[in-house]
Amino acid sequence: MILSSLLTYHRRGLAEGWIPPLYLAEARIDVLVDLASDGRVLGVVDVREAQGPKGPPRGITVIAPVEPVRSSNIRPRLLLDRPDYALGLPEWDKGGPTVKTRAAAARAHAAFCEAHARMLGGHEGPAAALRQALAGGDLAAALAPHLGADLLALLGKKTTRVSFRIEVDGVLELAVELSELRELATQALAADGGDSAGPGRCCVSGQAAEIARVHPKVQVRGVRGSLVSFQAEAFNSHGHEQGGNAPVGRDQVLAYAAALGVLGARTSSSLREGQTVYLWWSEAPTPLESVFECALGGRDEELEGERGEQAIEQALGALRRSAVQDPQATAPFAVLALSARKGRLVTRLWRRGPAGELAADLAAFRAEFALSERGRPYTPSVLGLVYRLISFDDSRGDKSARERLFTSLVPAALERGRPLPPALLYFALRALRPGAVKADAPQAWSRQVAASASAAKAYLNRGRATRTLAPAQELPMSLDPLNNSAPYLLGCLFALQERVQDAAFRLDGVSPGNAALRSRFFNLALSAPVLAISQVTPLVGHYLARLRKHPRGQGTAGFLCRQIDAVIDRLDPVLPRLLTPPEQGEFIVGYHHQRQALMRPATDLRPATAGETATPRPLEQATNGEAA
Amino acid sequence: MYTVGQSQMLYVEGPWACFTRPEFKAERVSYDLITPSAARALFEAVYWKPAFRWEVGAIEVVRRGRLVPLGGRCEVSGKAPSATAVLRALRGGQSLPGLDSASQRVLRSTLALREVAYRLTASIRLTDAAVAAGDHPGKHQAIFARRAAAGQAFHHPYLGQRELAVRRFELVTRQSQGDSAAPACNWNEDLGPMFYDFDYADGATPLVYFPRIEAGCVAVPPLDAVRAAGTSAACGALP
Repeated sequence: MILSSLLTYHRRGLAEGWIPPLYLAEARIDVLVDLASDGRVLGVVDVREAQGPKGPPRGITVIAPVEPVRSSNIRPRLLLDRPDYALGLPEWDKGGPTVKTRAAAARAHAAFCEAHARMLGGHEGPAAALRQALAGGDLAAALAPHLGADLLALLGKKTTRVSFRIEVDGVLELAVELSELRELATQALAADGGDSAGPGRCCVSGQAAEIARVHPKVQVRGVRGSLVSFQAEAFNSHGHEQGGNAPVGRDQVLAYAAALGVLGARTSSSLREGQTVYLWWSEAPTPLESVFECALGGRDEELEGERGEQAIEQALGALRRSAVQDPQATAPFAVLALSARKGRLVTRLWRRGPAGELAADLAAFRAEFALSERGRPYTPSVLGLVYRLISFDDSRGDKSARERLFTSLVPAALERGRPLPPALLYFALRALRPGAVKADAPQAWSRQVAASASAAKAYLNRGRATRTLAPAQELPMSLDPLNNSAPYLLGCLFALQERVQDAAFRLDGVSPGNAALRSRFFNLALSAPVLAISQVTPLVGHYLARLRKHPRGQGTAGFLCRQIDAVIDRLDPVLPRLLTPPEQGEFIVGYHHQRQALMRPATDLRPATAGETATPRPLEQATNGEAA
Repeated sequence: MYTVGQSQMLYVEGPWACFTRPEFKAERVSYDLITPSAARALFEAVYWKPAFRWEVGAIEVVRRGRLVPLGGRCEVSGKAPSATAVLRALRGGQSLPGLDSASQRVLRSTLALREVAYRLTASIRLTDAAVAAGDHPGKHQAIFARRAAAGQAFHHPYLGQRELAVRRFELVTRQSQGDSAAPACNWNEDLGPMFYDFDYADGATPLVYFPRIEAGCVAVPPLDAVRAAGTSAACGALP
């Protein structure tokens, strides 16, 4: 299905004009040899251009005949090739070319000339010029007067690509872009049976075809390998070798390789995270293509910010609500994840379904991570969330952890019934461990708490929906006044107690710094809340007393006391001594919700009435009778 | 002369299944649906003789599963020597051929299906040898039914690969209840070209067919139809 889906995408690209025809592909040219209409060499030009102030120079991109699959044999490419093939110039390093490399270059160049002689035949015009130039079999000698030291050094590299410009009506035209030469090259490639394993029935298209013997290596976003390969004995069955094991037509091989190349070249249809590349495509036009990357959590300049969020939600919502017959909603949409191993591309993920269905799953996934930030809904970018949770340092272990976490999140994003990986909760809790955030960086702490709360909320809600976790109340985006779950309320309580301390310190115009409750007691409250309450409550009482004594603090003290009382009233008298990891996730969500609720505008807060006592109820009941 | 028996229905479920795509046999990727070849192997595991072959008629998907990567598993890049090669070495007094797994160890990943359940329908088709001997499919049907009901098998049935064993298999009758009688899942899709089976009449020629799954059911064409019509044998939903 993977290959047949790529073939369908290739057909769409051909019809819409953004995939080159069969036997043609994007290629790079670094050096051009200029030929007169009679085949004389006019000059040699380095056509590379600098890519920015620091980037290495890069050749021009053209559409040229495809590169043949070369393993250990000599197979020339038509109209464009390495210097040893195109010009007979050997590869050389600092010491200069060796006898061996000279001989190899001579053989390669001979094959190149022979292939072009067959292709160009008795045709006139530019074909005759090229044929004449290659007829001598020693193009290097004709080029010698035109080669300086720099060009020689460039042409000594195997990675350099050389092509030709031919004089047509007084103007130099690229040989690969001349229609007559391109047509001849395409016909020659179609007729070439060199890499064919003979006739057979293609297992991808189901039609009779010339079967490809070897599949080419494909490069997508820097990850290179063969998607289909049989280069070990264990892969051969029933006496077949190479492509005979899974007959795929040569044309189909070229088509899927071209489709992969186009997908990998576009950032709007591919994303690389670590060693894994994610590709997505639609077999018919659909708006999901344009928002998929950002919806999943990549970065798209046009879709960043609040306006971008709205655009994503609108696109996903429209697809979700579309009628069954809507072609945009029923268009098959595919997602493929690949990584490289030993020259092969390993399939890590494959998901194909109607665009409307995937849009619904993606929208549900994003909604699970959504939280309320300062009264407005906020959906964090999933990739950004992963980076926030695993961003302690740049050590290699963390980079691979990020890649593994993102790799395990993507399948869950594309299928609503799949639980989220437990690693998500693990990293959400780990992100708030002592020392993760500096004590005097309250904004960094807020961002980290938001990231952890978002991840924990998504994990718990998905676990509840897929029944992999014990049934619990669904966690909303903002503070839930009806949630009486003990871990959730304990998180709210800790947030309120923290606010009491902040308010008391702000009276003196200072911040708590290292004495902040979150620095000293957050992890204790997270794991053993009863113990934390017994230590924090006396401190909170002291801060409340300070607030009540100050004229500017009395209203705050009264308000916070009422909030604390409200939470304690809802707490069950029997508190858990230790919190399990899912309960710790609830704690963090409650903590974040209460912090956000306290940040609401002042008009939302009930003003304190004069003379109201600001003493909170004792917590003996909450701590099972133990002294607070 | 009765050469085709009545259909037998078998319910199978397993935690893992991998019906390897031929083009992705190096780094395995499973088809989304059980192949007729793998379905045939399940019936053969319970009961098979050279006198007949199983012909899968229909596949009902009770649980379609989801593709989950199994990660890198240690395998070998070579093949174990054949029995013929070993016997030749023994008779010739040569050193026995072997497979050094330590030096040929490679990691190969697998994208397999997780938690699948199928209800498979197949019928017995007598081969030329049985027909010549005057055999009757009813005899083999009865043996199969007894063995399947008792949970007997020549080897443990598997879902595509030997190490992905079936958790449970059960003969489906009119009185069946529970999972084996659960309705098929709601799955409608054109699955494109899919491996059908090997045609052993002419070496081992792979056959391809184009299943279309509707309401979780696929009608599998007979081998003769796929062989004769090539790949133009279209499949439709069960009536």
